[in-house]
Amino acid sequence: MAAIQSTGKAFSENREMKTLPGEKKRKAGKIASVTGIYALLILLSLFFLFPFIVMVSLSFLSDKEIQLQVLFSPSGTLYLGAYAGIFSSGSKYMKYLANTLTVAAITTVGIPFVSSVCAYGFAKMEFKGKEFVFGVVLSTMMIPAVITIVPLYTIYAKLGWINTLYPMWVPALFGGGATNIFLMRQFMRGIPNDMLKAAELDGANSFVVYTRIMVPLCKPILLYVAVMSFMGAWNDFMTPFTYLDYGSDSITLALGIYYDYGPGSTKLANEAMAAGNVMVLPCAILFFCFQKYLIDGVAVTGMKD
Amino acid sequence: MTANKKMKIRKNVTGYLYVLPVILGVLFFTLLPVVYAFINSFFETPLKPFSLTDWGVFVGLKNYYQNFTNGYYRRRFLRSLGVTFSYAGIYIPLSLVLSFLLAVLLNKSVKGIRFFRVLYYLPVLIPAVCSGMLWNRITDPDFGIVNAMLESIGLKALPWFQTAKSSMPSFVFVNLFTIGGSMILWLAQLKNVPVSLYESARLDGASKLRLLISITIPICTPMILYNVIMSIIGVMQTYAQVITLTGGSGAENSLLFYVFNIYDNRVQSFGYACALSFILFAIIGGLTAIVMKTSKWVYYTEEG
Repeated sequence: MAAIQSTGKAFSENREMKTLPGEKKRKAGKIASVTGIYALLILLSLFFLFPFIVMVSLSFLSDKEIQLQVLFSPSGTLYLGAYAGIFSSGSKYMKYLANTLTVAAITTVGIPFVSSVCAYGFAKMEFKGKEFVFGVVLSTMMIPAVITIVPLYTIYAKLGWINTLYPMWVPALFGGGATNIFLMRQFMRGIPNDMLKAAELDGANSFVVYTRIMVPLCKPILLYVAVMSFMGAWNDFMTPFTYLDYGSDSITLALGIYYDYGPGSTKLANEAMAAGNVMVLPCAILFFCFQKYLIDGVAVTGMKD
Repeated sequence: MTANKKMKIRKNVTGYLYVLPVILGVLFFTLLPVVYAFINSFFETPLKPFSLTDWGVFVGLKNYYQNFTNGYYRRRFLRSLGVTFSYAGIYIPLSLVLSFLLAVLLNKSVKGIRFFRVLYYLPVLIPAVCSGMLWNRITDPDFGIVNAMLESIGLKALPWFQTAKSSMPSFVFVNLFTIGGSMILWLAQLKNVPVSLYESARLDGASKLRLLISITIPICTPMILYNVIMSIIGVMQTYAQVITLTGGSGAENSLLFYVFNIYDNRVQSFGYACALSFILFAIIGGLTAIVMKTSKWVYYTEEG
């Protein structure tokens, strides 16, 4: 036993002796640089978390404490009245929430479906003029949104869609957006044609191939588009701002927060922050659940073929 | 032969059926409004429901040239161009460099680095309207917490969005919280750099900075190009961030971005607003063309 220990000791001594002085220095340098990296990372975290820290801590201050210009309650109490205020019976918040959820639900289901159907056409079907049509669809990505959002008002007015929820979801169902189609097409092109051919030989028509083979294989990208559509609908400000009048029944969260708590509002900051938190929360939860898909997906969006 | 032909027609019809939604969408929600706006840009008319018979007064190119001839319009037009271009000129390079440095830092292989990546991306998730409301509240000179915090650590209170001079730097600062978005793009690109390149350069005795300048950045250039073009398109249309933050165009119109002119005029002089949006379209197209034309610095690897 003792012999083994002593050999072990000797062995370790031997190894220590073998360590060159330069290597030791490098090791020490590495530890210092890792510590430096962590210090920088933590410092930057404080910067990036600043908006969240302020929004959350101010929302838990009482009406009196919010006037004191403090971040945390001096008496150490957690006040929930600001949140209760938003959801009280007189508040329009529930109406906003219902409107936003309606739009978000339709687009979250509709956009992945429609854009994948179109992308399937572009990726796997052969028809005359396909490249041309796809080129036109892609070129719409370059058109600034403001150039269509203003004249579309006249068309929606003609259709009687002003002050309704239609402008927020109907156009989305016509193709689901060029970016989404592009992403889906890229993904589908990676699926080997042999697989589809085999199914076709078994007598499956193209739509069966789409539902039975394409949809299961495209799950990651479908999920990515679905989550992005939800966030898009949830956060969209310009569409309701352009097509809804002040006091309309169809006001969504984004516009409601602007009217009720935005610049010029006389409401207290704790309630405003609470309203903001309620709006941020679903997106934050979604992000944490689908983090891997989203970060990879965002990265894919940034690359061209 | 006829059976073959029939099959071909069938194939074409099925193909078009699949892409029909997007064809209708492009025709109805993009092409129709763009053409309608273009025609309207030659008329003097208020905002009214879509009509092919009632166009208003034909004024030719007046909606386009009054930006230069009419004093009132010229002042606002030039001001909006100045604001938009100075913001683009400051923000695009600044966010590009900062997000790159951030990505280099977050590409280090230390424990828990994934956690920090998620953390830095978080502010991107705050909706524009919430971030506008937040900064509007906390930079308030009387009730805001930011100045109180600055004073508590011995710094001077800042005027933020209260003065014309400090508005633009404040706006740039507030938007820097969202550079996590381009940071993610950079990170993906950094991972694409072949390790073998670094190794062989290191054998030749290249320093870390040299590796960064001679290998990492050239390989990232396609992403830089893409990012610059997308940023131009985005920044030129800045509106929601400003209106939710200041409720208008900032102190003394210091944040009068281009789109403010379009929105402020669209009800009274719809034709003029349309003309303005086509000028914007031309500016964006021109800038994109310039960036593309001067993109000899972009290095494409063989795989594309």
